[in-house]
Parts: sequence; C-alpha cells; structure tokens
Amino acid sequence: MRFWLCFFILMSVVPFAHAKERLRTELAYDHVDITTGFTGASVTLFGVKNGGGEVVSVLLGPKDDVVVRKKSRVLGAWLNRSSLKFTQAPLYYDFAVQDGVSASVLDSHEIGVRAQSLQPSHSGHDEAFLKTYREAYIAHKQAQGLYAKEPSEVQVMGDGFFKIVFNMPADVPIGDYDVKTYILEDARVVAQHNNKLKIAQVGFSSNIYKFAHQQSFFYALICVALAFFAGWLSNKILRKD
Amino acid sequence: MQIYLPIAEMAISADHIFLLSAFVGLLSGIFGLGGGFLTTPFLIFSGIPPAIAVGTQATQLVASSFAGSLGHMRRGSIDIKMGLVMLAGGIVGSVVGILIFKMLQYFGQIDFAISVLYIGLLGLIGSMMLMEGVSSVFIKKRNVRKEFNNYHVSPFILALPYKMRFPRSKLFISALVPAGIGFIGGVLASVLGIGGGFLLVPAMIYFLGMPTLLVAGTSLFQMMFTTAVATMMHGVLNQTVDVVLALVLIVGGVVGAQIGVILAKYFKGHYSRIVLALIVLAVCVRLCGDLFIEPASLFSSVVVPS
Repeated sequence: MRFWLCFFILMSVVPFAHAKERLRTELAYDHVDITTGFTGASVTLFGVKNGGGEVVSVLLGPKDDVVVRKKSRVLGAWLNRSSLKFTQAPLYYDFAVQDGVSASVLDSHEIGVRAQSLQPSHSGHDEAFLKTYREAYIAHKQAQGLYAKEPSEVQVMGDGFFKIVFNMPADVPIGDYDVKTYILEDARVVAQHNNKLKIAQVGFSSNIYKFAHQQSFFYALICVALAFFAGWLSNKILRKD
Repeated sequence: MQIYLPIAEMAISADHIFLLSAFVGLLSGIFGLGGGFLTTPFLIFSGIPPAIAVGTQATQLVASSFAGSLGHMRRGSIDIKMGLVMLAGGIVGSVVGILIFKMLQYFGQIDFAISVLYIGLLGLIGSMMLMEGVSSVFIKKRNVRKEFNNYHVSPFILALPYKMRFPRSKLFISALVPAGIGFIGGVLASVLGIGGGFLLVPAMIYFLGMPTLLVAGTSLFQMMFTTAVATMMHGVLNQTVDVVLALVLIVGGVVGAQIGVILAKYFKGHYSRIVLALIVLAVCVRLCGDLFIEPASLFSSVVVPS
C-alpha cells in the first residue's frame, strides 16, 4: 500500500517540481524494521530526473572500527597472526549504476566498493601491506553479502522516472544509512539528492537487545531464572512418564 | 523457519538449531551425559559466533543440570556440603575463565583457543569411550561401579591441609581438593560452555574417593550454580547470552532427552557407546580439519565498536 502511495505522491508532485528540480528521489520506506522473523529486506528508491545524464546511486551503511586479521600457518595449524585496524570503515555498501557509465568515471567520483576510503588506525604501514588488507576487507564483506559484488540495476521507467531496488541480507548491520543519488553528465556530477534510511531492531528483538546491553545484570538474571524454570518444567514433564 | 537472534544480530534457521539440540538431548537421554561438549561445536559449525555459542550454551546447561539435580535431590543422592565446597571453587573458576575468555578475545585468538581446547577434549573423551566400549564388547568386565568404590585415594591428597568432614560421603579430606575440582569445572563452563561432568565425575571418584552413588548428583548440583554464574558473567561482561537461542536450545534439549530416555531401553550398552564415541571423534576430526586445512580465505574481519 505505502509503496504505491509513495509512488503516486511522487508522480503528482513531479509536475510542479519539474521546473526547478534536476533530480528528486524518495525511498518507498525510510526505515527497515528488524523483527524476530526478519530474513532480509528490499529497499526501493523512486526517483525522477529532468534532462539528460545517467543515474548513479549509493547506499552507504553505518561506519565503525574494524579489525582485519590474517591467518598463517603455525605448526600446521592456521591461526590469526597479523591484523590491521581500520577506523570508521563502512560496514555496508551497495550501489546502482545506470547503463552507460564507465568504470573510470565511477572511480573518479569514488563510487564503488574499491573506492571506499579505509584508513588504518596507525600510520607507518607500507602501501602494499595496506592494499592487501583493504582488498581482504572488501572481499570478506562481499563474501558476507554486505558489500556489493555487482552494482544493482537502475530501472528506467520513462518520463525521467526511475526505480532502484537494493536487496539486503538478514544480517545487515543496524544503524543509519545514507542513500546518495547523483546524475552524471559528461563525467561530472550535475545533480545530487540524498535520503536517509534507518535500520533498527523493533518490537521484541529490539527490546531484548536494548535490555541486554543497558540492563545487562537483570537481563542475565532473567536468563538464569528462565533456565531454572525450564529445568524445573522439564523435570516435571519427564517425571510424568 | 528463520528466526532473528537479537543478541547475535543474525538470522538463523530455527529448525536446524532445534534439531541439533534435540539430537544432543537425545544422546544425553540415552547415555546420561550432559552433551554440552557437542552443542557448542555444533553451534559454531552453524555459523553462530563462538562467544555467543559459549555464553548461550552455559544458559542451556543451567536448565539441564537443574532438571538433573531435582531428580537426584528426590533420591537424596547429593552430598550438599561437598557440592557447596566445590561450588566455592567453581565460582572462582568461572571468574578466572571469563577473564581468560576476554583476554583471548582481545588478542583475536578466541576462535583458535576454543577449537584447540575442543579438539583436545573431544579427542580425549571420544578415544576413552571408544576404548571402553570396544574392550567391554570383548571382555566381560566386572562391575565397574564396584571397582571405583574401592579406589584408594593418593596419600599426597590425604596429606593436604584444611581438612573437612563430609558426613554424607563419609570422607575426611582437605577442602582444597573438591574446591580445586570445582575450579576446573568453573573454568570449563565459562571458557567452553560445558558443564564438564565427564571430567568432574572421574575426578570426584579418583581424587576424592567419593561413593559413586553420590557423584553424579553432586556434580550436577554444583554445575547448575557454576553455569548460572558463568551465564551471569557472560551476560554482564560480554553481552553474549542470546535468550532466543537459549530457549530454542532448551526446548530442543528437553524434547530430545525425553525421546532419548524412552529409546534408552532399546539400546545395547556397548555398541551404542561405540557409536557415541565415533560421533564425538567425528566432531573432533571436523574441528581438526577446520584448523589444519588451509582455509579458503586467510582473512577475516570483525567490528570493534569504537
């Protein structure tokens, strides 16, 4: 319902916006709710552009410090031996590109997984070492489905309307996301429009998460009490037989 | 059915976890063992982060050891005083275990440490059970329980200070020994998420010379408190106790154990022990494989909240 509502509102607003706005985008939903039954989500972005150029959109997740570890062989066993910490690395990255935009143009605007800035927490590492760890982080994120392997499709629907669907896996990181949409013309950004997306646990899941982190003592106490109750109950059931 | 684990922050197949815990419950029902040493590796194989697997498994152990203790309480087969002394050591052990756990986590070696400890543990239990099973098939053994009862405790243990009288077990022994055994149980509970019954029970027989009749009940009695302390510590210090996962594990374990108890009548002791030993060894081999075969990717990454 809301999906179509959003679509129609956008359609009706567009004629008025026509004169001044080069690019306008709107998310079908500006939030993703993670509930107990959450198995992933699709985030739909609608947009309208006036004039020429190609649409490129970036979905950038929250940032946090990450440690990348490398295993090496010690006495025949593989264990983590070396590591590098990146400060404020994006935890999620997806993007969509309209046909006709070349890779070099994307690179020049720092769009795409490889163009993400990953800064080590300490300086003084040599470039080859940094490169290895940067690529390893990206590859690991891609393997987890948290960094795009391929750009998503920009579906052009005529009259300057377009639609982009970003698919997210079930273990998508929670936090604040930015959707940045650009129009590129002759390799230059001629228009940009940003949207915000919030991904959060809601309801039961969220309450448990908050409770466990904010009132961890009482949470743990309840877990223990629950376990004792379950033990007592199972003893009762088993004894009936 | 997929369910979202709020603490692990991941979705997982609830059926899979349920079947897994029911399977371990089934084994524990048939063989009368805790089975915690199988659940944690199984959870890790299913993609649950080791820290959450251990913290949550400790919770499941509270339930299963309490259920077990209730039965022993009714039969009066618990030496409460001995259990309390063991518990004192057990609490210190769980605190030390958590500190070890946090330190390993900090150095990024927790996965490695858990794998190595499990390989050692499962290899030991599996081969011991296999030997016992195979030998009992060929040799008609005397009653093992009777043999244990007559075991003579080492003079070194008898010479230790802080002697205490344990009327229920008819023992006059240094309190350090049961406390030490409890300590090891506590460390195992918080580092590996296991009750450690397979280790505590023989230790209580050989080092304490406790009557075999009281050993199982007393170890379960102290285990339910030790694992409760371990759960509290994991919950408060690490936030690695996932209540949703714990409930699935508990329910699966109860259902499995109930079926196991019924099935136990139809199982021939020796042969089923050999099958169990082979299962344990298979898990051990799988863990070895993960450790010794070159992984597809040498790199891993983990978020460290700033």
